[in-house]
Amino acid sequence: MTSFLSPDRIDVDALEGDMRQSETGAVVSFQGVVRRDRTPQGEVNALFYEAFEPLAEEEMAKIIEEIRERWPGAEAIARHRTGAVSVGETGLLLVISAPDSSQAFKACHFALEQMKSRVPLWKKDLYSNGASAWSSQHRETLLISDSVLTIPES
Amino acid sequence: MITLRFFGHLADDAGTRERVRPLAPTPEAVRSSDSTLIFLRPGHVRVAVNGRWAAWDAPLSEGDDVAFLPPTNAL
Repeated sequence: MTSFLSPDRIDVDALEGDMRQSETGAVVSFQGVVRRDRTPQGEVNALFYEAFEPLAEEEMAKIIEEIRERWPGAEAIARHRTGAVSVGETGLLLVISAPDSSQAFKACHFALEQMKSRVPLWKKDLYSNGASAWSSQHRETLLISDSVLTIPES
Repeated sequence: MITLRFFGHLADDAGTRERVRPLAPTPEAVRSSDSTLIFLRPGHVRVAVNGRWAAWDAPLSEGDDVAFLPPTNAL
């Protein structure tokens, strides 16, 4: 069985090709690409992805199985990088094949939403000045909801 | 003894990625008995024991691996 997680570059063309089947009328492909954000801490030139691998693999496999159950005839593959991923590179690839476009888009959206809440994965910004910080989105949530915590140093 | 493992920003908060400590009855008992773990908030942080999701009041056994996992933020 091929792993969902890998530190290796994702071969997008090969994986999309694998999803083309004679019964398939639609293939939807989503790529999460590392972008060059400019933040108060510095300019992002890479992201570092960390996962709790046993549960990340298990939850992603369950999500794919749920797609097969919800949209008969649909199939899905997903790959996510771990470790450092540079700006412009693909960190996540999700490819859905289904009998028609409506099912494929719905299944792709479903997979992304489920991954956000169920797959234990975290990203850290790596800045061009050598500093780093865990995603500000999550930290802001913590700071708003718990005044005991202090602003993390970058 | 049990092994505590911290992921994401929790490793920064703990000052380590892994810590070994004496057995406690539950993950909640681990948290509440150690003032350095105040940043672990049960409503926010999830727990896995030996690679499986677990409740904060799940019983722990000698040699267990207890992982503390913040909410996913990679997507």
